[in-house]
Amino acid sequence: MITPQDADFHFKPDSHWQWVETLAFPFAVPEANINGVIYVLTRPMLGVCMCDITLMDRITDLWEEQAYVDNQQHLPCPKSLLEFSLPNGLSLKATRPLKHYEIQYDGIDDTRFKLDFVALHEPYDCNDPAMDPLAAQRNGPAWDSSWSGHYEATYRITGELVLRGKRYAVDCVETGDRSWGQRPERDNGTMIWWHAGFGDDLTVHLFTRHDIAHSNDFGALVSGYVLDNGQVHGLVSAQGAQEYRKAVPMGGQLAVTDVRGKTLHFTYSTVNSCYWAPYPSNTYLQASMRVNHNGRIGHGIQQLGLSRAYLGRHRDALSTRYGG
Amino acid sequence: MIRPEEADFQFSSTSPYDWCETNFFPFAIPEAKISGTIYTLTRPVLGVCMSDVTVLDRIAPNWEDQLYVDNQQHLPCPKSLLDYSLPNGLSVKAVEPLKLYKIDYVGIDDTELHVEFRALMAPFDMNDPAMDPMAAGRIGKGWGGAAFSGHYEITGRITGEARLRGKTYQVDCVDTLDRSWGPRKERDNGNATWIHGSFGERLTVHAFLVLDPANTNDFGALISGYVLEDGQVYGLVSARGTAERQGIVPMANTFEVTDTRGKTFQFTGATINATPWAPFPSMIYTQAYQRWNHAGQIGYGVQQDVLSRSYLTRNRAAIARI
Repeated sequence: MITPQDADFHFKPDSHWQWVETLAFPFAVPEANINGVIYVLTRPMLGVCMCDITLMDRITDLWEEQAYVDNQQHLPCPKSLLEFSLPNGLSLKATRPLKHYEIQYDGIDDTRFKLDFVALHEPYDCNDPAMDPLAAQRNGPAWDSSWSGHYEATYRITGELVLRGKRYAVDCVETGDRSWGQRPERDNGTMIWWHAGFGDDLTVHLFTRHDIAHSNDFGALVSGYVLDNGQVHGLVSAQGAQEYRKAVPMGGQLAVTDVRGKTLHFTYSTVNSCYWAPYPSNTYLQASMRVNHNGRIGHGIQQLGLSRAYLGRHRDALSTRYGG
Repeated sequence: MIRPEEADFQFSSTSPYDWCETNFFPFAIPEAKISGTIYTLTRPVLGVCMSDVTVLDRIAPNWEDQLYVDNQQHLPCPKSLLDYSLPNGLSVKAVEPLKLYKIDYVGIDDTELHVEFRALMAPFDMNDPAMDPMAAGRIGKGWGGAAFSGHYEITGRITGEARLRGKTYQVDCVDTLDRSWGPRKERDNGNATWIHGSFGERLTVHAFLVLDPANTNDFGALISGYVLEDGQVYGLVSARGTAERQGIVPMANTFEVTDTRGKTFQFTGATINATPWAPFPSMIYTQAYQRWNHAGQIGYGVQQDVLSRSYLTRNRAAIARI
């Protein structure tokens, strides 16, 4: 179970220099086809912090063709994750850790936002067998060694975005996460991190393996949940497949079954995407999606975690399979 | 003038957190259309170091389509730039600082590099008016504000062996390294093209020019540069050129430089491998390796277009029309 103390740093004096602690807060303005990501990756043992602010509004290969990119790799690491300000203009305050975050950013080119993230449920601990039915069989971290600790939280996000001088009201449901543990920067495992929200009463989130150089199918389910009318139900299985252009997922279909035995079906299509690479050893192909569940329209994100080691190793297979 | 001690760290106890010191070594196997970069960017005040080993072998719009990419942003900063080993498998030893470097890298997927860089010239100090005729007009304003508080280039012969995904190549080329030190921010840095061509040991031309590809194919004002001819270095007094592009990637060049002797050199260039390399994500260093033709002589070298992602996103509509 995740406790409020887990919202702050976990490293110890003898932690490895590769120890990472992250915070990810996505948000969206679906009616304008805008998706934003606020991603902070700290390496507290090195005293350094990466911060990425990316705002996407179209389907492109290139990250720099999106609406706004501010990625800084070498900022001083904050003393606490509960309240900090970075030299890039980002300020975060955990007004109530795990439950309510106030996040503000003043960037360049008349771009800024002020957002409230209010959690719709208790954090989903992928390592707690009492919460995640797949945790026990994993016997350890979910993804490489980097997730000694990991949780997701689905939020109602409200506030205002000013993007290159144009104002947008933000009022959406999105899912963020936080991880801590040792994380190398080469050849990390491949992964799909997928979620869709249909208002406060329904969100589906899942992590699966994949091997897109050889298959369009989703790989084994690692972890996931259905948030259904305020109650969280762990996933026991997921099946799906998607179509790709190059390595970018463009659409697909998915079925998930939770611990109640309830199965939910989805189809989805990509509405904006790019090869996002908040740290260059890994591309997180970010595809924002319009998702259809029995005629109900929701919005979400999938991040295809693909190391550049994997992409380089399989470049010809990927090109042959999905086009170059 | 660059002194041997400037091959090592220059930061002091009062340097800001964004103080940056770099080490860049290129290599190439032109006959196989392969070029590579070994780039170390340190932030010694923070205690962190970025190391990038990228090997290109094709014209590709995505970096990950290239032959080999190993970029790690958050490695422990070495104590010295004269002799260091990093956890990614890179070792650099300045056998004779500024003159002879031994570089070894043992990566993954049966990929290793073992090369020596032997200088063919004393470092070209772009901030020394006695060396660079353009320096007096812009001391302290080289590129990106204060990023180049110190900066030099050295052209050298690089020899050794590269094993790339199990295939072994002999390396024997002439190419140009650089090193910079000073505060360097990670947003909205200025644009420049860093361009050079080598025709064996007898002739290398190197130049830095302003760049604004959203508005013109022409290179902008000359910042700094030199001709290395028969062992002698002559600063550039003027340069001009143009690049036809696909997106931001230069595909074909014309280039002309004039040095302090009044001697003019003319070149055409064709890209033989290229990618929007981004060793740190706030910038794209579009790396386009050129086959140059100078009066019938064939040479090779890189055009590296330095463009911030701030500039690229701000001008994306204009760039999409290229």
